[in-house]
Amino acid sequence: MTTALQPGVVGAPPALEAAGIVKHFDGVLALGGAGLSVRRGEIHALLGENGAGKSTLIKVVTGLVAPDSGEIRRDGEEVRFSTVRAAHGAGVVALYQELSIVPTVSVAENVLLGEETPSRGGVVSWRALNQRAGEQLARLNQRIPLRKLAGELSPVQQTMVAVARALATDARVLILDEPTASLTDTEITDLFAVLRRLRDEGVAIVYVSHRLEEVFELCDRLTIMRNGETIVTKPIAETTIDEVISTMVGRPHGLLYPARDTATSEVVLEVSGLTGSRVADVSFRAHAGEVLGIGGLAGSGRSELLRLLAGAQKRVSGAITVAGHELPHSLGVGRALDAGIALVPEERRSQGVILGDSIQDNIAVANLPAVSRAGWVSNRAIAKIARSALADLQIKARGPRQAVGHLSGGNQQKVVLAKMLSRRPRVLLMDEPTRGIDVGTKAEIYRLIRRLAANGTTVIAVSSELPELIGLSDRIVVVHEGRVSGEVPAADADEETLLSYCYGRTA
Amino acid sequence: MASTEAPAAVAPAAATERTPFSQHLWQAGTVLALIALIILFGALRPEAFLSFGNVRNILAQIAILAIIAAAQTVVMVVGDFDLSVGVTATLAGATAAALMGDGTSIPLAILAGLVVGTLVGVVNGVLVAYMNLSAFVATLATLTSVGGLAFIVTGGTTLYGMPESFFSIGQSRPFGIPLPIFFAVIVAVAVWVVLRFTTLGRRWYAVGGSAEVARLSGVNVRLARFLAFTVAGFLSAIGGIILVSRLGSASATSANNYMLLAVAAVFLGMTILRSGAANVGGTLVGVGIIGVMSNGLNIVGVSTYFQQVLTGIIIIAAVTLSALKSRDR
Amino acid sequence: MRGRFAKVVGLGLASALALAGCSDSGGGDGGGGDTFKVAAFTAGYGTPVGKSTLDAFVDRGEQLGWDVTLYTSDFDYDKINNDVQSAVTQGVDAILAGFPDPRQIQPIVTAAKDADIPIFAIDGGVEPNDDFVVDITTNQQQIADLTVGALSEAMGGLQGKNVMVIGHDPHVGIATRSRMAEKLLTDGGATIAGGEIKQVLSPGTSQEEALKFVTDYLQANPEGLDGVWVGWDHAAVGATQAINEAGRNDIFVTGVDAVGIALAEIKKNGPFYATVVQDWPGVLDETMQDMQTYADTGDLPEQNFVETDVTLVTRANVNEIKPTDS
Repeated sequence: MTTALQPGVVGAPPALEAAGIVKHFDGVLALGGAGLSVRRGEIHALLGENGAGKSTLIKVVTGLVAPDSGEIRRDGEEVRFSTVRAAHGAGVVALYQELSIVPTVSVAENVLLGEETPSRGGVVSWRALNQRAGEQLARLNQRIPLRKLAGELSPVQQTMVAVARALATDARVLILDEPTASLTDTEITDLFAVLRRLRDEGVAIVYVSHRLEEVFELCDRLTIMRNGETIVTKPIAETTIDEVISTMVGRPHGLLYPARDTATSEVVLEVSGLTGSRVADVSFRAHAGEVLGIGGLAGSGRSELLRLLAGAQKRVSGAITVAGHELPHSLGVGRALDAGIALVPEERRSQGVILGDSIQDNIAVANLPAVSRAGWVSNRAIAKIARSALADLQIKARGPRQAVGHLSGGNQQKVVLAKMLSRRPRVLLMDEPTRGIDVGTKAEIYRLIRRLAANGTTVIAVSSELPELIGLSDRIVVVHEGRVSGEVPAADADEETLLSYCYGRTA
Repeated sequence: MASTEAPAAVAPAAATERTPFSQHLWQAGTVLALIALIILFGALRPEAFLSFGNVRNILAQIAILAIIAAAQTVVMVVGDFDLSVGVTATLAGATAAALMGDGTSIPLAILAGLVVGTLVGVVNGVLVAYMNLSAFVATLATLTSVGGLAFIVTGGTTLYGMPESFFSIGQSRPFGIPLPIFFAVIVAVAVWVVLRFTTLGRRWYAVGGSAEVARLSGVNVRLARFLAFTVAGFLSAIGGIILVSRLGSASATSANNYMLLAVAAVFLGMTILRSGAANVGGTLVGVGIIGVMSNGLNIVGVSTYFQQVLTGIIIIAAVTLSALKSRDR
Repeated sequence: MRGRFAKVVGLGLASALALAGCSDSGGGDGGGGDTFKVAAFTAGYGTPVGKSTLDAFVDRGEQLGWDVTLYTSDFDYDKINNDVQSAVTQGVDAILAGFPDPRQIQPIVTAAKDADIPIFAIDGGVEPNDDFVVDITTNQQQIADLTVGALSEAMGGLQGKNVMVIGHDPHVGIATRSRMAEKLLTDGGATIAGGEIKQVLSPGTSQEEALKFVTDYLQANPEGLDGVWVGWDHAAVGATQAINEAGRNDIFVTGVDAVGIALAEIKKNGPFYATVVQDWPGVLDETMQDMQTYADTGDLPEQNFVETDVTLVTRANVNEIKPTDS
């Protein structure tokens, strides 16, 4: 390991430097003075919780998003990338999780994608194309058949093709976002070897990952972000995983969360051995009046767990019992709703509401049995349900006939809630209940959840925000790679413990 | 909507919203176009165009298109597309005609035609809803095959000589009004009622709005799409049988052209709702525009070639209007 | 599991459709080395006369011991050109062109010339054409003369009368005879209603289109129509319906082809006054003889353009005429 105390080229100006970057989205602060300084010849980890601002910062330095203020310097010279192409031209290239390869064309074409295709009189010169692509792959020490369709490659080969393409455009700063998410251990070793090689050639590499062990194995220095700000940059050799986790968590609990006052009693939901495509053998119980928080990283299976319970996804095996009655194995959303399980899904705009439809029509979709008799819908009954929902949830709208697309995010979320609460569920599942919602409405939704619990509803909430998880829940179950990695009463939980569970470090 | 019980219900006044007036103008655009056409032709040939006889004539000419467009509306409500409504109408009509030619009783022959049309809808429904073919591919395939079946059923010739009493369906005039107009009104009202007042209609609209939202709200999306195609097949068959009765003959391609006109009518109608969804009222306005155009241009004496060019322009205008609107969403 | 079920259902549906599609296609398979091989084609298989004539050709050819393969389409000349070109490549002795549009079969003509294969045509255009070794057709001028004459008789002369002419220019025969009729009508002192020939867009929907033309025209000009000359019977039936529905008995219609539905209308003594029977069986006989001669001796017909006579069908002789589409 070449982990010197001051890794990379120290004397020269940094290959890429961003300082004092501020960015608002729709009035919400995303970056508040973020910075990053990457030297030539180092692998630099960029770390932070979900929502800390890592991806926004990457988008800023690659020209995808224009910052409100702040400076970006490339080899010491101030630059301003207005497009991704401009960033490419300056040698700054980012590779994202969903690898940007075109699966239906050949490896060679992928490597040279975006470049001038070698041609003679408008006819593609395949020989020249294959030769140039081959040279790039050889630089990575990779033997990948050039004529194969890129979609037929293994994930690591696809990553290599993407890296080769970046190098073909003469990338001097290479940014990798979660490149190992779908790779096996040996493939990761291969990838690391290539990255080290590039580092030794003088390429500056920014490495974004949730896998802290990998970061400590591969990287030279790290930068930690929190709440849109850069907290610290230091050499890996001078820190530990535990210190990194506590720096990432940082802040104290807010006062957003209402007091818990629920005495939990009978078991309402019992899950045993639940297995789906990512979720494996999950068992737990939830009680009447309890708020059960589910933690875990993105992709850990936390959302799939809710979808399995709601009948939105097919279960492979395992049993779900509601109030003593086992639900049938082929459970659809309709049956789950009938049994008293309702889901408020993660993606509000694509899964929660029909934006072009009115509030009352959105609510009616899930409540057709209640507003109809023998197949005939009563528009009066729909309006009645909608009006009482508007009042109950204090939805700010002109009336039940206003189109949902014209409401604010918070009020849209309330419409989704209203839709599901009108079914009077025994178990309410909520995936990211407050994502993209202003603070005021957040507090309202927290109070509402507490009120539901006080009335005996079981609420199960998935959240990537640890403070929310701790503040809202009575008890927290953490999922790591599809399995339960820890369970704590919220009263005893702190973010560091939870984050360790999230990273699979079972206590 | 005096919601006094909701003190918090204050208008948020989103800055991006269009002012209500321009919004209304947008939505009324298609209706205004219809009114403008009527005024135009009325001014050019007032005595001929605006007479009672001609209004009745226009209604009679668009009655069958209205029925087939209603079928297309149902499919487009769920966000799909049926290229086979025209050939389905042809096949259903031809089946009934062929059976009557062979001596089958009129009710039985009509029933057989309806069953055949419904079956085509069932096949479309299975392909699209349960086998996940795109509606375009599936109905393009049935368009081709069913078109071939129509040639087989008619033997490539024009069938005629059905019993006289069968012709009353398409040619009789109770109270001086051609009977097909009554059928069109009945079908349009029935589809409107189903779409607006039944749980099935609600499910269809929800699926068309967002299939995923509908699924996560407990709607059986596959069943809803399947039923939409089935109903479209059934309604197309009604249109095809009335056409055969109206003409007193059945050829192998008699109703095929109705498909494109029906799609055009539904697209025109989609511009009327703010949500941009297909709806019966709008479809009827679209059918009206097409009917008034054709009749008015005939009366003024414009050649059919030029009429066809204008129909295409109208379709483009409709799609553009819909696209402009859906950018809002 | 649903996946497999879905596949089985899909295959079932596909094969059902395939069977339905195939059941009608007969056709001979390849015979021995010295059988006379004929590739017959028509793009007018969707029309009654086209279908019955070509079907008869296949039957009779096979009775003569020929190896006949029939290529058809519904006015899709692209498909026909491709099919027949490949037939030429595989080797045939002669080609029969049934009701071809000579402007649209140049690829076949070129391929046949290159391979030195004669093309015998039935109704292959309205003027002599070297593309064919023989083209036996009907006399378009005679058709126009007879129909316009009948219309004149029904209306009581042509002078000062308003006559609508309904045609379909993509069809050579109809285009030719409607131009001839237009000239005869105007020469006789009649006015063409609407100023020009009304064009039907699609033969398949011609009855409905003609019905609309006449209905709309009568709405605008109730007194402005005395007769409707139509280039073929199906559209003429539509015009007849429009006149009946308008409650008029003083407007007359003529057609061409003598299909069953038209003969039935003439028998009703209504507006449908006359049509013309083209002797397609006679034309077919003559063509068969020419081809037989070529098959036996290799001799080609002396004349390459033969116009046969047609017969006017009116109320007087309608009961003796056999429909051409049965």
